[in-house]
Amino acid sequence: MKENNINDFDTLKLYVKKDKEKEIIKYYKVFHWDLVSSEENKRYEDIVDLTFSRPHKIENKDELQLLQIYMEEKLNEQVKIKKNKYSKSTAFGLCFGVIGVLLMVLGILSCVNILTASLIGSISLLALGGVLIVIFSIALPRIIKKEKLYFNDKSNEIQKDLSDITKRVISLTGEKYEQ
Amino acid sequence: MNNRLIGRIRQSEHILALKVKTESNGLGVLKTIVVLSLIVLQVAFLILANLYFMRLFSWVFNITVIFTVIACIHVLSSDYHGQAKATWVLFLMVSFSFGYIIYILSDKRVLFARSRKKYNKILKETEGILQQSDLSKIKNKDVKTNCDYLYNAGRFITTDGHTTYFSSGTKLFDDILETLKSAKEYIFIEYFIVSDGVLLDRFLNILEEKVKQGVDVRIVYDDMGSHRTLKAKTKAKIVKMGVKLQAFNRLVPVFNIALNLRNHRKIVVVDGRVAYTGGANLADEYINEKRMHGFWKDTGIKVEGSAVDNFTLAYLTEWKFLTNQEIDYLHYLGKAENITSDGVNVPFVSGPNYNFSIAQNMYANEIANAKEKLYIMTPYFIPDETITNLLINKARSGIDVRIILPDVADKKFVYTVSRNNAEKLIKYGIRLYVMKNSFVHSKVILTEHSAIVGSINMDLRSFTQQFESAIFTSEQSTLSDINIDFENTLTYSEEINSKNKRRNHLFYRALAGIFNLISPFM
Repeated sequence: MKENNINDFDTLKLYVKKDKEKEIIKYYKVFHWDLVSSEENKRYEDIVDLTFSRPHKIENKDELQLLQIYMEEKLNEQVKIKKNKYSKSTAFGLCFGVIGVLLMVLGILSCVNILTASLIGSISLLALGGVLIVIFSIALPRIIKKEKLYFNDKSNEIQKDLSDITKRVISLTGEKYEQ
Repeated sequence: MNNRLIGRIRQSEHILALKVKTESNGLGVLKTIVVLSLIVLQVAFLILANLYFMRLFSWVFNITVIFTVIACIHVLSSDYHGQAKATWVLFLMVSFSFGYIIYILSDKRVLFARSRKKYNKILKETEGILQQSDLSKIKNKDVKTNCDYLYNAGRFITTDGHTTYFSSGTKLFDDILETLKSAKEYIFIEYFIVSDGVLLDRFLNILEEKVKQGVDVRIVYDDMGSHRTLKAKTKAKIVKMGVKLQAFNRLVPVFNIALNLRNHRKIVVVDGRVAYTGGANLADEYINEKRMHGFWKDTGIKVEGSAVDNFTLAYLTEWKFLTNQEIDYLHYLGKAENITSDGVNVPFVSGPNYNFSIAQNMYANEIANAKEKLYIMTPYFIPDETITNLLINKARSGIDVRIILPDVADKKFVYTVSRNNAEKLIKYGIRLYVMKNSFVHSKVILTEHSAIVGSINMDLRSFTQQFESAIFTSEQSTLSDINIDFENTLTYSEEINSKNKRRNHLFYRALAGIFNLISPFM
């Protein structure tokens, strides 16, 4: 088997998210990596173990190794920004929304004498809760919009970087990237 | 459904899109923890015993005072450099009740004295074996000065030879493997890290064959550098195939300064006609077949011709020190054919066994001699005052001084200190770069007339605590290749300036200060 011939072939073993498997195989193909095996991961359901092989002696190997690491970084960054797409709005929502509602509930409970508080105290709680809810409802769509914009810009930037890396690799290896 | 797949976790949170599979040796980590814990326990016991007796008997207190004063005088009269002296005295004062115990246990002149004596004896008996050539033909005065220094400091001769530079671990090891195949008499290998993996397997495939052909194959590895990566099973396999395997400075759970003195050399000598050194160890990450800290940028250099004898002799003296075997040095020397080149190529080694820090002095000479440009690649940047001042003066004199550091840390604290130290120099005109997504492990200094390529980091550990190897070269084709490598590396690097400097957390800055203080001992 060619993967066992360590003098003539290099082997690369990857843990890959299942939904990214096809895309990643295509990217690695450009770097001369041929898929040898794809197996379900023993520990995680959403991971597959991929094994690639390529000839040990290839031209421009150093630059390919460097570009491969850049590509790996970009592929991971792509998932990371998707994962954190609404992180700010979520944090904001939790702070202002939940606290606002909580304060309003406390205010209402005080008003109907379930909790002991002065009238001014109850009104203050209601008012503060209301202000927080208003800020929440005004600011949240804007934050979400900004996040979406940032995400799109960042996504495009990563996609462009990936495309540049792929182009550079293709110019070195002559492999084709199958869309 | 397959039984082995039942009971799996649905989501893997630590993998984003992909992760390269790398294996680690958990047993090795455990060994380090056990050894370090036992050493800490011993030191703690000594300290507590001293404190206990001090409370019990007043004369112990008096003796402690006397010993502390003696220790301070001993420090001040030592050949430590200024920073180390100041740190020791501060330590002895602050930890008055037990500081002198740590000092006695840590002083090279106390617990390394026997080893040093043994080394000196071996070095003395090899003196004069290699004859220095006539250096009057060397046109460049600065190059000649360095050649003179190397001969006077360590008897490293300047003779004929030709060097080839490798801009990566992959290229370096591919060439080494090809050369190993051609070995007829002996193969000497010395590495700080020897690690289980594909690269070692490639080596062993060839070495096994060579042993069968009657080639004398020897490997020296540093026990601290390799104990986590080289399994006992592999060591047994190597010995069984007939390779002479020697550990340098075994990791034992006894507090001793010698434990801190490590063999950081990377040397391969084949039949006395070809030799290699560089930054790369015998491990998969150095050829990027294992992923540790992004892209692993490393370098190496090959020397052919009579110049190889410097490394052959250095290896044999090391071997004699480790094994006490009698060696007929002449049997291994003078094997190379004459190869001339347009410059000098002088392989040299450095270490605590020499009376001077040859590595540090060569770096200082090289920096001082730069007249147009000074390019440095190093993973760590913790120089002493002399080197720092030289760099500043060079930059202020209008010389193009550039330093390339990694962008990715291998040891976070050391990296923080290195970045801090380097960033402080930007204001003096030194241009600092970091190679993106990469760990730069290369140790290269290039000037317009010469270069040093080897295992020497730009830090005090390499200068004073470690055994190092390098080649000083002024061969034009090699200098040109090194220059191309710098230019290529710069295209993948980001220049650091006052705007994109790291803003370190106060905690890191404080830690960096402490780290800088104790760096001479680390």
